[in-house]
Amino acid sequence: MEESQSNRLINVKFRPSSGEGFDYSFDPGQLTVRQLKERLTSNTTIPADSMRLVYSGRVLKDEDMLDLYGVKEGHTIHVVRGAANRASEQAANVPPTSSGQRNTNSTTQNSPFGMNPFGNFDQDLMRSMMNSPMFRHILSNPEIVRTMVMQNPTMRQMIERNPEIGHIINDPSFIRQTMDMARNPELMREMMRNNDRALANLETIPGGFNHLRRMYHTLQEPLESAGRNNDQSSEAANRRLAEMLNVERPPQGRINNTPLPNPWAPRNNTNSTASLSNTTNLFGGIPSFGLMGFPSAQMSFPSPSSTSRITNSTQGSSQSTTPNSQTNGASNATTPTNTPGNAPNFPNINLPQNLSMSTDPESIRRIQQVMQRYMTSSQFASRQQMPQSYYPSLFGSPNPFFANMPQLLGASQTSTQPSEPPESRFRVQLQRLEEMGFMDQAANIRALLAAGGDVNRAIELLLGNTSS
Amino acid sequence: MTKVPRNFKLLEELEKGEKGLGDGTCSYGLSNGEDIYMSDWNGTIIGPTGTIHENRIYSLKLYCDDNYPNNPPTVHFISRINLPCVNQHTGKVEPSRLGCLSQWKSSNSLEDILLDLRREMANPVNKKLPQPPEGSTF
Repeated sequence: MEESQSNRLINVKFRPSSGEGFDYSFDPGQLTVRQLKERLTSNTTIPADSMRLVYSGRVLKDEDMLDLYGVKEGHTIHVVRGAANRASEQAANVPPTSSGQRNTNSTTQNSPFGMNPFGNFDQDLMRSMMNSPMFRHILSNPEIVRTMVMQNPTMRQMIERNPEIGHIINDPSFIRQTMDMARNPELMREMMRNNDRALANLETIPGGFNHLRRMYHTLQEPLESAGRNNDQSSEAANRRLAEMLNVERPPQGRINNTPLPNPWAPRNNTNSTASLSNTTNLFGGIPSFGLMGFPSAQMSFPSPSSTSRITNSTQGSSQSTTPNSQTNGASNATTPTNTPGNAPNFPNINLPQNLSMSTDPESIRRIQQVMQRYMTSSQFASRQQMPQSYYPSLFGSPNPFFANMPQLLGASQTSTQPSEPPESRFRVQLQRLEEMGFMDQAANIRALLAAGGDVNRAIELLLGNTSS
Repeated sequence: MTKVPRNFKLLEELEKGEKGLGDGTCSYGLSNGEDIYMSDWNGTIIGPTGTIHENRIYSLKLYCDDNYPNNPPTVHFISRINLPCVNQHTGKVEPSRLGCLSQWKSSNSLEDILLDLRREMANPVNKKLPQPPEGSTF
């Protein structure tokens, strides 16, 4: 757009395989395909190395000039994510990088939903904990960390059910990466903020919501269901999501044309505290997340249930003034009524205290105070607009979260979790529809998705669609 | 049904391909922009997600003879692919084994063929078929 020296600027539409397209102007006589890709990285989430440009039935070659392909004003170039180039592929295979990235993703994956349980955890507390020599020693030995995790029966069960999670734990470099993240709260906070921002931006563009929904299905859901027993049905997950968002089923035989709810909208008093803590459980209280993002936190509170109880009550008390009926346990009895400003400075703690903290009501109370105080300040901070130029400075790449998407996507697809595309999920139903003469597969899939896999309803939808 | 002359139809398809009006999973265009008979076409299919073809882009050649659209085009894969409907020696798509070619209608388009092939890739029977290394060609 800024190339003022060129006189043959054409405006071309770019169409990613997912998400909304965008326009970009360039001079095809001045630019190689590779250069174009590098310029496009700011517009897409695909790094130049794994970006493929397809135009008119041809894959554009990096070294070619763009005018070779006869791209003209108003034409469309498809932007596709392919396998990374050989060289960068090798780089990505170096274990520390890949595991570190996975770590980043799973940490930040919570934050778009605004309920990262440990994101609200006092960073100073965390840092002092992480910096205590004893802790350091323990954590520097991945074997010990692993044993600690495995000693927790909930964790062990989960790992037995989900070998891919076990794999992560067994990866010493992953654990080390996580520790580094925890030790450097600035880094972690910035990362989560960036991703929040990126997701908010995504949501504002048309079609962005669908993209987010897809992300939820491919990333969040498999991870989430990993923490649950044999809960693999997408039906049930859909129902849960619908419940959480207070969505009602559209009337029979109709396409749902009411606007979809915004899952990130602040939950106001219309939603009771019960549903509030319910959502926290859905997204935050899942042990797998605690594990992926902050094993350290998990270990300082040996029982995951106590951790989530604490988070629950903090969430509850900070978002509404009504007493949180869900946290009537020991922690609620000691929920502080004083304002956050009165909270005492939390002293540096050393390890033994740390480990006994979860059972000591006094320390729970103090943690809550600290967390509350942190939350008010962090909420204020996150409201402030982040300039776009903020992203690259920290991580080198425009957006680490999206840049790392393939790894995570790949990881979840090799797993046995229900991340199958609708084509194969609804195979039987699709076949039946096709036998009945509904030949438009895209429409069939849409109808099946809307009907939750029910062939009869899908037919109704399809028929209603064509007749109207 | 009204009969659309060959060149009108192909021009229309060309515009659709260049402007990317389809669903974005397939792309097609003339191999030679100056070819006034619009016989030789390139096509690409983006491998369906959740299959072994994911993250792959398959290139094809399509040839529309003088009787298009009454006769279906002949379709060849350039990228090597293992699919039952593709001849493993020549890369030719066997018309008898691909629904939209065996039951060709003059209203069908090149995009329909590509989409049908993509559907074949995503077909549960085929989606896990071992595939030759990416980048190899027929």
